[in-house]
Amino acid sequence: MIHSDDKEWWINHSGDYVLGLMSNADRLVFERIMHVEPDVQKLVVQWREKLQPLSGALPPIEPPDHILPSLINSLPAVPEKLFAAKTASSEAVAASVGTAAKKLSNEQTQQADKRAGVLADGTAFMRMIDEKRKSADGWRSFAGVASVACIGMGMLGWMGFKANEAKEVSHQYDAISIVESASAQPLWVVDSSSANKTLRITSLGNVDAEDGKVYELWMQKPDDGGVVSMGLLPTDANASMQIKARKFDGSATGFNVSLEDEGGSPEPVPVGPVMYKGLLNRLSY
Amino acid sequence: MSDKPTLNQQLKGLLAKCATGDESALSELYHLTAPNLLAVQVRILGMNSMAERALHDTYLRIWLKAPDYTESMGEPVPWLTSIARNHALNLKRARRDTDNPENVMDETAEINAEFTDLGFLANYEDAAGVNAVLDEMGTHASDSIVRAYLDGWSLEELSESYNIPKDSLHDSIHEGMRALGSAS
Repeated sequence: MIHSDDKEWWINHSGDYVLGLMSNADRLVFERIMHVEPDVQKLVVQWREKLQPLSGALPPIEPPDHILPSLINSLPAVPEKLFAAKTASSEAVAASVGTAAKKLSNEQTQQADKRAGVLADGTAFMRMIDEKRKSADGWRSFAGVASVACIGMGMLGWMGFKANEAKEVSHQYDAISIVESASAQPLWVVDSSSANKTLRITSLGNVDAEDGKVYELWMQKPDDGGVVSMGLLPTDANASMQIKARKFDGSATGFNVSLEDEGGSPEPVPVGPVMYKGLLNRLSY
Repeated sequence: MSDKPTLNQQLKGLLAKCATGDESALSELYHLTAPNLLAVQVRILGMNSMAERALHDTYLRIWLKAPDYTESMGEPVPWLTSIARNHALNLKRARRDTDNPENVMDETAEINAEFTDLGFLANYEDAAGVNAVLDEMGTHASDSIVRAYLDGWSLEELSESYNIPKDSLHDSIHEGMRALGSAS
């Protein structure tokens, strides 16, 4: 929850978010935080409702007739069952992200702090968060946010987000998956864009493959419809890659990671053991 | 007292139906909201084919996000507006990054010209509260809030337009927003 001492800070920045004043990188990080912190989400909702009359005052414009038929024809067919499953998993993953972040060990938190320090210039918003965290008063709001933010910062920073910001814009990631170990330790973050069939995979540096072995990422299709390989995963801390994944389907329910011999599974399914999993969580904003 | 459901109540029901894959519910939701959402997007993108494509894609997003909609996300009208606005802003930002920024501003200048003052708010009863608070603010703060929210101007564009350092303008915007936030 937001501590009262920090409330004005969050009010200002959630206002910036709703007005659209944040940079692309800051916005992505802010959305991650908002996704796991109900207090921040509540502030955003309040701003939206407060500013809505400005939009409502605009004279309506009747859309051309051709848009609706074209829209209906292009709707993806998604069965009710999947919707129900996604709704349930959405909350589970949101909780999981927060819990996983909060479960980072001291050592990992220190590593994350180090990364945060190195990467603090990645975004203005993250720099402010970092400064606030290090201030004399300390960080009084929700304990998990720094870790969640560090995950975001690691990703954005490694990508050299500032330099690549324009490129990033064209890949509006609309879902996120945190691939975790059985003990809820976050290992990889997979951002996905169903529209652009693009994945951004970031290793959080908490896993090593034994010699001669590699980790392979598999997209889980809905309704136990099998898996599709998305390629091999990076394992170095903060290593990140953006890939075009033509076979990625927005209706996927999550990702599995298997341990395979070098070069990956020779079959269209995992040959090695499935070690880790992450649910796909649509970003709501 | 009328038992007629409010627009937000209607939309909640339609979103729930969309979440079950009911295409006719999306059509109904579209008829109820598209003219307003298109107005929001045209204001940001200008009246062009991009705004039409943006509207199409916005409803695809609404269709996909409908199962995730909960009361915690606020009333449907602001929620739907935020999806439309965010999509239009993303497109504008992408265009801003690839085009000459002046071209982007020129394209929308014509349609925005009639809104250079806040007079249009006076015709909309629900905006009376916001309008009153904006009237009390310094011109730069109120104009910046309206320009950023309705027209998708960035802090850099606002700063350049008003010839005010970014940090000072940002502080004024925060002050104005706090006044808006504390108004009933």
